[in-house]
Amino acid sequence: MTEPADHMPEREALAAEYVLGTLPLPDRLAAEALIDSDPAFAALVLAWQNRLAPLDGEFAPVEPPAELYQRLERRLFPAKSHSPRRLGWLFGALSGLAVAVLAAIVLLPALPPIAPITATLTGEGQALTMSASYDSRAGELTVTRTGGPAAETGKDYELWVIPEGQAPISVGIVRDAALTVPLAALPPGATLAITLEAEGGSPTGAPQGPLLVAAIISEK
Amino acid sequence: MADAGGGDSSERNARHMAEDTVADLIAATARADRDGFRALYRATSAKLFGVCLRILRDRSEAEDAVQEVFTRVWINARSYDADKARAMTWLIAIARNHAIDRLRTRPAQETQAGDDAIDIADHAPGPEAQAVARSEAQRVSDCFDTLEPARAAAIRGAYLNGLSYEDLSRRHEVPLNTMRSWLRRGLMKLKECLEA
Repeated sequence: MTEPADHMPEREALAAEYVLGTLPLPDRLAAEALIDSDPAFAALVLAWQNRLAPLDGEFAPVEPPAELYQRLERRLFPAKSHSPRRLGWLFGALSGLAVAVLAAIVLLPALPPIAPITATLTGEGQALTMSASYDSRAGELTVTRTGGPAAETGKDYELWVIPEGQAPISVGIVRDAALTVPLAALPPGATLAITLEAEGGSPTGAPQGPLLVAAIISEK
Repeated sequence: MADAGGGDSSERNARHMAEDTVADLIAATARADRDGFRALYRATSAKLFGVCLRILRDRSEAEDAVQEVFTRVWINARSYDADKARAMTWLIAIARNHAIDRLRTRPAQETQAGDDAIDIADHAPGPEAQAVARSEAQRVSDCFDTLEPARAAAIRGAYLNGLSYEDLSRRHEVPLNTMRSWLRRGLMKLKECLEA
């Protein structure tokens, strides 16, 4: 039951290093993909998380600015919708499928209004990442795969725009080259999502496959 | 994660009650209960903002990060399993992982520049340190004491400040691979001590 003090199995070392946070981003993303695909690895990560958690007491609480919660609410629950229907769709897509978790990331555009809206589409435990950039003057949305594998043979990554409270609209297929498509508007509250579909995209025009990565467009 | 006995029982009860509340609020969030989500934010945002701020060392980025963290919590609340981790542990892990992912996307030089600010924070344990069960915190602290001081400092610096292998090898002036095997040995020793 005791292992030599100077040796740790590679898998466990990776789990410990992931929790510790010392790895570069590509290794972290690889570890996150493993968490999703390998329950034994996920258990190692959990054990290390719990082992090091007593250090959490050393993070001093700092009150965030008072308006931060309003910003968060505006982002999650845009005023027009009375129920989180858009998220309801996301939950629905998740619950019936093997992909268990989704995380959305939005990089707030920090530049003046004419700056393109940029977002990174991610999913927890997903090596896949996509970057999206919307040029409102040109009315063009560009999406590029920035991390993770290409879709497996016979499958494609399909991009959807989901205006808040509405049904997903297919925008196109993201393969190796950047996808640039005309798009009249990308309003705050809209979601960009990638699902894994049959080659050529969902035959029904509605998402069929698992939701992989997504981002919610926030207000400036 | 059994308590190793001992500790002040009323203190432990108070902590467990607080934990239960946070776990309940995560459960409410998982049911898409916005009031529960708001209460969860109120109860935990200062701690999670503290985590993001300490790792990112940039207020406006920490604010964005906390919004991201709570977005993930809103979306992923269903995946929380109270049998596997304490509620605060789960939340802090989400915050740390997100803050560190953000940090790792920065150009290396920026991380380096941030090193100067770290030492101040290193010696500023939050008031919550006292709220953690004495037995458990003490045990970890005792185990850190069995490590070489530089190794213990490297592990703490990575966990609390988001230092990468690159940062650590620069700070300790050793090659990256040396730092890596050095730190792995430290982690192994820490694990053995905690499980002894």
